[in-house]
Amino acid sequence: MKNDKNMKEKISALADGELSDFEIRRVLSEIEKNPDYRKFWQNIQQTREILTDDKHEFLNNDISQEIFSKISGKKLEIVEEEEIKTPWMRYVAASFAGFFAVIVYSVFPTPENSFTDIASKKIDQAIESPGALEVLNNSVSGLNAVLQDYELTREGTRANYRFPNSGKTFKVSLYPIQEINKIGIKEATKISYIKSKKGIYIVSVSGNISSDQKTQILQKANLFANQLK
Amino acid sequence: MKLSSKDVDIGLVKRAKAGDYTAFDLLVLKYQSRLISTAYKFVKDKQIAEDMVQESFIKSLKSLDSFREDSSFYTWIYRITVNTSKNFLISKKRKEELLHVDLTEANADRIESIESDSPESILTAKQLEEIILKNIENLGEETKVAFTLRELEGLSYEQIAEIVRCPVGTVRSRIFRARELIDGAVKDFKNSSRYSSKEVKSEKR
Repeated sequence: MKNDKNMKEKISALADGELSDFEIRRVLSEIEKNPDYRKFWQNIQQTREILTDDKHEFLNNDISQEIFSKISGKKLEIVEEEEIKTPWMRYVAASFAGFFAVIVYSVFPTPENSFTDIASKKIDQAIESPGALEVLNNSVSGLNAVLQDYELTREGTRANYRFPNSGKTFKVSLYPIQEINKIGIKEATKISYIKSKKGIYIVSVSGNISSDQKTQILQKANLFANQLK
Repeated sequence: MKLSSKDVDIGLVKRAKAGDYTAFDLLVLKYQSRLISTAYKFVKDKQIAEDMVQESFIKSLKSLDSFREDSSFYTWIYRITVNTSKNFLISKKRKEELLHVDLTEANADRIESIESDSPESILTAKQLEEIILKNIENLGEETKVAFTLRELEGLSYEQIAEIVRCPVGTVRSRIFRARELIDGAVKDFKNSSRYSSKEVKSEKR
């Protein structure tokens, strides 16, 4: 709690240009790990804008996620918890995934030993590989969560994590796109589609963590997707 | 002497140049709404304005090495946004619109506010403004003075410390305290407005 206040005080000083280069480096590293700090920074800027500008019609517009996606060269689609919970939205999400899968399949020829088979094999190998677990572990880096257990199968890789201090747990899963049905209803609290050299995957985060932390995990999974070799 | 935007951003720009994306992200969060407003004055479309600003930030990141640290990042990204928006209009053969928009950095602020957002988001922005102003009003006297001197007068911590005759560290704490209280109020508001909008939606169903 005290550390949190100290860090926010430093973020406040950063907004005023009153931090040394050395401190800036440390503060940025903390902001990267904690979405609440990023929000605090954003609120400082919004307050400043309200105080110094009499017109702020675009105050609520946030394009930072889009910029991040374009710069990292990877598309990030996030389905929010509330959306996936309603039955009709689940149906739409499933239809979308099905439609997406159809597109993926339809662009490849169908004969045996065709490119589809080879691609599927590669995806299976990738998802079973230690690289998949590495993606998951990297996606939770900075959260100070401890890996509890994991499962590596051809259908998908699942890992359970725990926060040592609070005891709260959460799960991160990585599935090939065609295995979307493997994501349980309760489990699918926040998902993202990621594309790597080996194919298209779904990352799912569920459990006792904030929505911002889930988003952060999905973003990082996206960044590390190319570890799937 | 006031702290310029140049002084405030320089640390973040340096870190962004060294490849720290979080530093760049903070600059995006800081300037995005102002720049969308600028781009909107050219392109007259909210979505296109957002695209222009996205493109401008991406261009700026790619050419960050060419940015001279003795100039202001905001002025630089502002120019990129204006040029990107102008080029968009030219490429769309809408040069005639440019004739009506003689926007330069100097007179940008004289352009009247444009009601470009939905009534809901205008209302939200208005409510947010009221909450922030009310919370500033309710700050303790010393905290309010430090915060106002910083945000409205743009004074450095050292200058504020001289004026109010207290250590620089105390000024820093007071300004933080003000921001912490405002942050809490804004968070409460955002949570409650999200809750009420959900309620309205479920009632409609």
